Amino acid sequence: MRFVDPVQGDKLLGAFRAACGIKGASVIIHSPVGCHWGVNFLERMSSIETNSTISALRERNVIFGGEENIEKVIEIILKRKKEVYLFLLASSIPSIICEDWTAVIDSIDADIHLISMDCGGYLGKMGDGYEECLEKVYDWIEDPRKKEDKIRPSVNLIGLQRDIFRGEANVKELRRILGRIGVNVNSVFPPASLTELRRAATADLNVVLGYGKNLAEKMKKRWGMPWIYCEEYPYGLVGTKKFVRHIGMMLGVDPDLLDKKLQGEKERALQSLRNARPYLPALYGLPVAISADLPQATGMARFLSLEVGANIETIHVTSSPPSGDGVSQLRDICPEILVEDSWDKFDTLLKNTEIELIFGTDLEKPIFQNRGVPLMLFSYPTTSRVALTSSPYMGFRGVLTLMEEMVNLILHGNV
Amino acid sequence: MNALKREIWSAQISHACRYSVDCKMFGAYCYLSEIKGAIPLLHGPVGCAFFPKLAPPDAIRTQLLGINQPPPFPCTDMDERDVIYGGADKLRDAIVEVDRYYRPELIGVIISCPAAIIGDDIEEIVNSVRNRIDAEIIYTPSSAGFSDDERVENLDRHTDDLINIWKNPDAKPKWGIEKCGRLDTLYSLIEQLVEEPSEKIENSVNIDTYGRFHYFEDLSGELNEIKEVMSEIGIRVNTVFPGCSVSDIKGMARAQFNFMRRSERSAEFLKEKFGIDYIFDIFGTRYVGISGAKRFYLDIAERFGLQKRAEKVIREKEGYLKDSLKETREAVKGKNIAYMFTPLSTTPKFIELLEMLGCDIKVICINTQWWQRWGMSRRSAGKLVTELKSNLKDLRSSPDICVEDLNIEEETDYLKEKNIDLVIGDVLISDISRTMFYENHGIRYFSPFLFGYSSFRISFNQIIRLGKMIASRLRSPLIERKFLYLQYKYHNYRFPTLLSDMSQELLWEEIMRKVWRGKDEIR
Repeated sequence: MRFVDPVQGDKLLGAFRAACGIKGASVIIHSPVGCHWGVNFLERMSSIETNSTISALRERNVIFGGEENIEKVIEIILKRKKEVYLFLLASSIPSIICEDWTAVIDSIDADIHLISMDCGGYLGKMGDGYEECLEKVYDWIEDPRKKEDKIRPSVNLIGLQRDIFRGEANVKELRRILGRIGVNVNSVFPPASLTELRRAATADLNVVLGYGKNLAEKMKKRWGMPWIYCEEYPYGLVGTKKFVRHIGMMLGVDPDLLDKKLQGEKERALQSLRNARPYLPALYGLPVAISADLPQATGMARFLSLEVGANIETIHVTSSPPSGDGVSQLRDICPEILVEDSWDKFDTLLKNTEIELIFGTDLEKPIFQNRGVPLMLFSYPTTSRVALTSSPYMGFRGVLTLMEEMVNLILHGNV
Repeated sequence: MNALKREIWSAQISHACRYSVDCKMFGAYCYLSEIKGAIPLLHGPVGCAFFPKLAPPDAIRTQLLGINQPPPFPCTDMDERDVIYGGADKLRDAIVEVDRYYRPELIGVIISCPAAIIGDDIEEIVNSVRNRIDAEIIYTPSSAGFSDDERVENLDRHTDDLINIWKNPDAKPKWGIEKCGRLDTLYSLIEQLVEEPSEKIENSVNIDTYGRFHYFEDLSGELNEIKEVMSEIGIRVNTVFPGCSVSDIKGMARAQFNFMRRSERSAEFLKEKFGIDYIFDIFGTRYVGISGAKRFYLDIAERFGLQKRAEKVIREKEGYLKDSLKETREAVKGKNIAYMFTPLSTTPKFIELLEMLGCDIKVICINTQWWQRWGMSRRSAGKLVTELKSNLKDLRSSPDICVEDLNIEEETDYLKEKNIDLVIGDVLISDISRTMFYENHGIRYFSPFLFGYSSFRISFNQIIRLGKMIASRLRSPLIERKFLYLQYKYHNYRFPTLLSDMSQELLWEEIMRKVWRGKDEIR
């Protein structure tokens, strides 16, 4: 066994990413201070207003247990809220010493809605934590009230990450496009609020984007909600059309209307792209590397290869859903694929390849800084860029943002 | 490192670390990042090794080593099987592979919480591969994140220590930071790397420095000046650590004397093993200002019998200093200066220094709220203020001293009434925010720390720089501004905390006080 220079966090980070941005809920990281520091640092730097706190385990807790700490923290939270929706994410220490943290909370006489997870860092990777936490929030979804006659069908978008650069803009763009074909987005998972989470069962269809299959399956069993699986994020005209068409067909949207709307969106995007058209041939054959979470890597690779004409020299799938489809569908686009490997191996590959652009994460910053290879951040973590405007990377408008940034990179040598 | 990058890193650290506290493992990673050619290797799960390299590089690494990226943080990827059966073999293999891939000068093995709990014998593992690798190797036996350090201790003890030191600079503090992750690692480096010297370097000294996230301080400026003055006195600076190479650490025992600012345990080790005597100044209180800097050089020179030469060198420095400060004295003449601060980080000596620069200090505002929020008792805060006031009674300026713990609105109103030309401030955090707030209220504010000055650094040049900065700030126009930054609703007593963040802040403080520090309330 050699060393691993990690390209992803562990189960705790995955669960925290799914839980920490839900307004109205509280997260307790049951751990020493540092476990919380790390995950909280990354999420706050990813523009998430975290709702977390900590049981602050110390040396004595390794010997005597940390139950009292949990009680104390909950007592402090209960002073502020009568009804608590609580995620308790236990880290390696309580996991190894086999604490029964659920029993501690059960013994507290208060209105606590608990989701607890054993997130010992040695138990799994980021994707495992993300998937499990998405599955567990099922407990807080409420039965829909008496079905009203809805004018428009609606969907939940599950696994759509908000804590990446342009994450909120992506959500907004998918809402907009689906709205154009008469479909509302009911809830996004991870949800931004308890309200958004609780109402999820009122949707007509669950759309799983990489993560959240188990949640969708549970919702299907309980409420009969159908679900579809998208193995990739909808980047580019082709990817977006495929995504929207799939949803439209599932919800019985009139095919003519669907075609008309999609064609209109496509034409508008192409019209806006006209000013950059002279530069598009310059991107043909551009040697590119991708480092990203699986659904993002897949979608971006397809867009860059099929629509831009770039050569995808190397892909590093930094994290993936536990029940993911693997990378076989990428083999025809890129021969050199690493999966959740040590970062130094990716770096070595790039050193031996002429790469002119990286679509990646903060981890690739040293390549940009040391070797001057331009970097477009689009997959977790992307803590070194802030997005304020509604310029998405996904959807029809996302094509414009992506092309604008790529062309400007070529013109100015930087984003 | 340019100023903007410095400010961005400070802003990132301050924003992202709000409502969280880092652990010893991260401290160990940081200290190793300050040694040239060192690679930290974590014996633990990927999660612990993932985030440190995404934090900004620390200030010693950037300023003293000139490297603007954090080092990689390889790990052993400890999994469930390792927790049950032990991870010794994995660690052995990882050490060999890290040596082969990175070709480092030093591998620093850091243990994580799981590795510490299951009891992997790090010392045995490291020793078993020592001969199979080219790099030097050390291990940090107590870097697990759950290991206690002094931050959980009562701040009142720290207060008592400082009050004693104000009264008697030679008083020995009872409170220290020996158990923090950084100093643990320093001790490991010294204990495991320093070699028996073939010969001693005559009149030589090692200098300990610090400042992990002190992007605002001129760390290299201080050290360059110390080296230069020492050299004029006839003393050679052997090793400045950290911010040095592995061979610098190995050769530390060639020096005859140590000036230690952080770890007395390390100083004691070097004394016992190599007979190197030391001066220990943990809070930077012995050598503040001009008199402090003088005393520093004389204290060291005395150890080598070089007092006379030191006195001559210092006289020359003082002469130069006097000439250089003429412009400052002219600029501050007749100006009303106020000084507002959070005690402890500011000592009475610093206020005396401002007077020496010619400042007529009309008003002093003392604010203890920050400390009280971090667990200092009201009694200790009261004691601190009383002691401080008694230390300030001999000031030439006879300032009005306000100890009311004003909120920021009250503070600016009060200072406006006093017709103040310049407020010099030290509030530990958020200095730029405060500068902007004051300007928005038509008051000129200046935080020395924003411009690289620190009262804890031993330096004549910094005093000249401080004087120039004060003069320049007094000359700068006061433009009516409407900063975007100040268009939000802030809490008056906790500026720049947003009103909307208050519930989170209060929750966090209560948990820190009652759960993390509260050892009387929990077992």
